[in-house]
Amino acid sequence: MEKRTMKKVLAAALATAMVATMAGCGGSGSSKGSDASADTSKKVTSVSDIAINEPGVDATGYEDETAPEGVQAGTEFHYWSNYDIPIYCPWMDNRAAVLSYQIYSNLLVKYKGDRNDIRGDLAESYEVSDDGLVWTFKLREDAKFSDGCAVEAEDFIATWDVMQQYQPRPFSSVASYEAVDAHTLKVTLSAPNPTFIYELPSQRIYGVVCKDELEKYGPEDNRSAVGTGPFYVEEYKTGESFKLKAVEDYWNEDMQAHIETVYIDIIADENTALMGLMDGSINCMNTVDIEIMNNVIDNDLTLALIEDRENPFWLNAAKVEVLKDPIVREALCHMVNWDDLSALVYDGLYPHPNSYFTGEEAPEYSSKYDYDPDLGVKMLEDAGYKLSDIKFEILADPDFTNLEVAMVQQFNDLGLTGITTVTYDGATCYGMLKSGTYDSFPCHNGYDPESPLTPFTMGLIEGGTQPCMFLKAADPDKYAEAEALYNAAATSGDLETFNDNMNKLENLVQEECLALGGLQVIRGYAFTSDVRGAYISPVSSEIQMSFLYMAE
Amino acid sequence: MLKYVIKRIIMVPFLLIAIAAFVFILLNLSAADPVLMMMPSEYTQEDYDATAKEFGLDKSKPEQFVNWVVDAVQLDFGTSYKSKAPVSDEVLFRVPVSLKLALITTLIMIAIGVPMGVMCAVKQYSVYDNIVNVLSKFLASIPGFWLGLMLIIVFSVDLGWVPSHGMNGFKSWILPVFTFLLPYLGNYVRQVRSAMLDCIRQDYVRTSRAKGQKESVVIFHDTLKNALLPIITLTGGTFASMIGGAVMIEQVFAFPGIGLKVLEGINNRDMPVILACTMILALFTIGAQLIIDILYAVVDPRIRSTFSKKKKDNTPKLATEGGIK
Repeated sequence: MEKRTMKKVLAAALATAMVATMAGCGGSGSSKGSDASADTSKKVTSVSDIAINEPGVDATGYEDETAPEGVQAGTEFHYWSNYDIPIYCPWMDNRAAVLSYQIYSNLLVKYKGDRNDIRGDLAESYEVSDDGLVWTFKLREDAKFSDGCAVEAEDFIATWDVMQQYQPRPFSSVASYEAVDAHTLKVTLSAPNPTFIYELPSQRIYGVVCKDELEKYGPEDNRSAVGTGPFYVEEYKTGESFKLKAVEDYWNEDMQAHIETVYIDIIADENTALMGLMDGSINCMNTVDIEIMNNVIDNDLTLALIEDRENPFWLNAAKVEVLKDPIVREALCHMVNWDDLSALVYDGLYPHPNSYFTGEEAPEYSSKYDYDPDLGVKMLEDAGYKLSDIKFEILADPDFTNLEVAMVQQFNDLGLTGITTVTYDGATCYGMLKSGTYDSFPCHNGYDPESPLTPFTMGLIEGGTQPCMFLKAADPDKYAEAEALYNAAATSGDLETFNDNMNKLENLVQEECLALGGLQVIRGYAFTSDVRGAYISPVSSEIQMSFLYMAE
Repeated sequence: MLKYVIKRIIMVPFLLIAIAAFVFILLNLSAADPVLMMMPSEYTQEDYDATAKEFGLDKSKPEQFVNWVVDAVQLDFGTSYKSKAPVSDEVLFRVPVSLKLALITTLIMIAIGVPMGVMCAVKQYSVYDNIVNVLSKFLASIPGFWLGLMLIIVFSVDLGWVPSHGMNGFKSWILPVFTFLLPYLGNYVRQVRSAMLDCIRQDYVRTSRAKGQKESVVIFHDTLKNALLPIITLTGGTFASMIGGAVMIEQVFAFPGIGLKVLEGINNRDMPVILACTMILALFTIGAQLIIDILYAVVDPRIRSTFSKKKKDNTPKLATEGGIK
């Protein structure tokens, strides 16, 4: 009898524990968070129901609403960052971009993140000489740093002197710069560069800092990080959060912030950030994780999709002898079924783009990339290769492991069992990328419509980040041809010539099958329902928080 | 006793240097070149050499290690390869966070675990003992990260009682502490029970009862006091492992502790950060072990007597011992 009682008690205890566990697992259908269903027409049931957000359009879906005048007293906005930014001077750390977008400004601004709407910011006007070499910017006289000091041309000189030591890329076409007077800045280019306007003068990550503070504290001290943006850093708790305050009566009325206090909360774990979004302690997060996006939709939170980069699988012919043969590279390109991979690994969210290079100007795929595994196998056999001769290892960072495994499985199923994959952490991958000690690596092409030369700067120029794109090892003559096209594009006097050379260069890279193609990454931005005015640039994912406001 | 403590303290720096050397060698076996990782997308050989010199990476490995040790003694752990900020600034402020988390958890673990374990031992095979036993096994087998997320869903998202993350006041410590505590508690209770049962069956306990001592005296004075040795070992070891082992808790609850920094350092191949964190964690582990050893000596007269000055022995010696010829 006593034994029976004992069993009952134990069973009851176990049942209670299991019920408690299930309750925990059950999620929160009744989330207190936001509801995209406030307007039933916006109700979505899956990520694929959401259209890609256009630049210059409010990602929260309230484009028709009017933003309030000035700063909304008492409003707070919590944004998620999964890493700390110990030093946030604009030249220090590319990861600081989310902060730089808010606390710095530049000569020009991509208004609401739209590259087709470039307006004056610190510059009230600018002129370009007829030969396209000399750019003269006239600075606003009322512009101020967050500490109240007036902005002068010498501040740019001091900032750029430091910046080009840390970030040389935006200065690649700059021959010299000088302060003509306190409010006039002259930049001379070494060759005409039609894309110059999209980079050094308009990227907020290259924003200006106060010369006096910079000279006093040096380039690696946060006390030098005094910017001209619509927000300033009021408090930084290392490893915890940044507290940004809106500048009252900001000198640029168009960019006046509405949220009084913005917190950038440092949360290492994406799932915790999701919980924060669900309990309302975080107002916005972004992710490329399909599962997180599905959770956002399941919990009736607002989700916007932004186009990000593509990640072709670059083939390193310098490391793997067999990859020097263009037939092998093309044969491999025929063997990957990208649509299946996208459907299998990412619920079909990440589409297979028609090019290595995203954007309207990108070239079309050639037939070399058509999925035809039989043709691929036949090409290899006709060229005298055994399938077992094709041996290389695909280096994967943890964000892409699933994709790599699925892709390798496709090769293995066709008999190419010598193709394997290995996962390292992101930093190791980056180190191996720079040193070229890998066989194949899925790396974003660096392509941004606003800086279309970047992937080639990284891939064609010696010492670049992506020596995988070097044609040298595969075909020196083609490499010389590519280099000539790059130089012609970089020194084009007008956009038309530039685009023409770029298209030829992109076609050349694709026709050489230097990569196995890749998936177009889509970045999801999740918001609580009370957020309005989120304008996000595609690819760079720049979010200008000065336009954000909270619903009444 | 003092000699015993001094002897243990003298060993600490040697242990730390040995650990540092071990970690340093392991890190240098990594494939990635730290200078390369710090370079911008475009650089010249001069830039590379200048960066290597700036971070002392142009010197031989033994030289690098000696320089690091000399600086570390002055609490200068170098500059982070990733952020370029002083490692001391990035790491030292995290120590109190991890320490506080581990300390609170340990205290609660003792407060709950010892009485529960004692009760289980005293009422062995009772309903209470069986329930606690099952519950302990259940708790000990729950993965911390999963438990954390479940607790957040229930208590933060659904009920809204406590914050889901961050360190904002008393409430924000509740979930991390309990997430950390529960799996440890399950194991702790079982160990305390086991230690008590070992003692409770001893002859001196039976004798004590036979002499008519009150049950409370038998349990708390005669049994628990003697069961303290394994409990102290367990508590100290648990505390030491908690300081460095809170990575999951710190990750899930966004607590800027030292465990999270180690993880970040490892992910970034940031050698100065990894070395600094490892040394701090080693120091706390060694410190905890030292305290355990001292407590051992306090609690156990046998250990104390080993290190006490030998008193003149007046006891008559047997002929076989050379006393009487």
